[in-house]
Amino acid sequence: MWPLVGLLIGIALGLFLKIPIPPIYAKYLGVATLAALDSAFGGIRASLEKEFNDKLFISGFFSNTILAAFIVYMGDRLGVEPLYYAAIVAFGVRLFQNIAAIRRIFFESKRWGKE
Amino acid sequence: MQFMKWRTSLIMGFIILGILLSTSFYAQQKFHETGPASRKEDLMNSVEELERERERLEEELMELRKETEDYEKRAAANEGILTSFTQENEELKKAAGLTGLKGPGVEVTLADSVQLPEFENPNNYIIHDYDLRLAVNALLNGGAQGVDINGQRLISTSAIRCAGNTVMINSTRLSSPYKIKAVGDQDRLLKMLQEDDGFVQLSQGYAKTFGLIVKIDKLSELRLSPYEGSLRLKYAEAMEAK
Repeated sequence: MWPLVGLLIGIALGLFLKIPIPPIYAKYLGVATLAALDSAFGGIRASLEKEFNDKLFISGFFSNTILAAFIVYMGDRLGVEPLYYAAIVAFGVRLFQNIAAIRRIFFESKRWGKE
Repeated sequence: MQFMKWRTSLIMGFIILGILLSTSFYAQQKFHETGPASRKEDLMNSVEELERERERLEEELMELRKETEDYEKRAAANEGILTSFTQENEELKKAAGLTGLKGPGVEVTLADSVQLPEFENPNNYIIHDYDLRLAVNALLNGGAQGVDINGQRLISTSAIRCAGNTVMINSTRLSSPYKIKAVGDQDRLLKMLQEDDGFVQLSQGYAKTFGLIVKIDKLSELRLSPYEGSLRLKYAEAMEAK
């Protein structure tokens, strides 16, 4: 399970580096993290469906995280703070869909399914 | 499950995800810990930064003053006429508090109480700006020729004021214990301290009731530090003597 190993390495790196984030940017980072989470699970799903595409994954990963943070920023600037719910809902829903798809793939695979 | 060949990019993505997760977790945790105190922290940081800046500038100012002094001395050596001016200059500097002073005098030590206030007002147990003013006034009344509190020399524009739980003198924060050094006639200084009603109330009354520390020492040689702050009198203009 290399992705899991990568995740653990990343968490360890983050805890080790302790990058200081000013409190005002914590919200941006949080939403960006949610977008990254969605992209990562999307990547697993695509891999399991054998449709994984490097370019698609990398561009999606970065554009989603940056867009998510940008939406929060725009909301703050325009005085429409709830705008960041849009990012949370969009990425949240996709996250659940991706996880659901991954689960389905697992149950349909030879090892889990066929009772 | 069959062996799956994961793409490197996906694994890299997961590493970045991990970094993001732990960083934002850490940031949130710190935010919750410090919370509204973070503004206080910011302010404290800027105060500390400004104090460092001020110290640096003071050092620079002292250096420049020394340089000016050197020029003055050199000029005086070259031209005999200037000698008297230089002497007068030295005298004025001594009187203004720009030079260190040494001589006999009295040292008054005031310190916060060591007793812990339980139900009473904790303000009664610490030394305040007005306590320092009482002592300084009494000493000046006794003819003190120079007064220094914890290394801050008092000059004509010095204020002794309260700044939170510290005392601010010459825009420097001082904290207990306060050592007030005054050069002058020791007997007169002591007499004025003993006759000053406010100071007596502090040293005999409050000191005993609340455990404040008030100590008076006669010292045959005291050393006062020179004033190190700025001296720019922007609004004041000297008037011609009649």
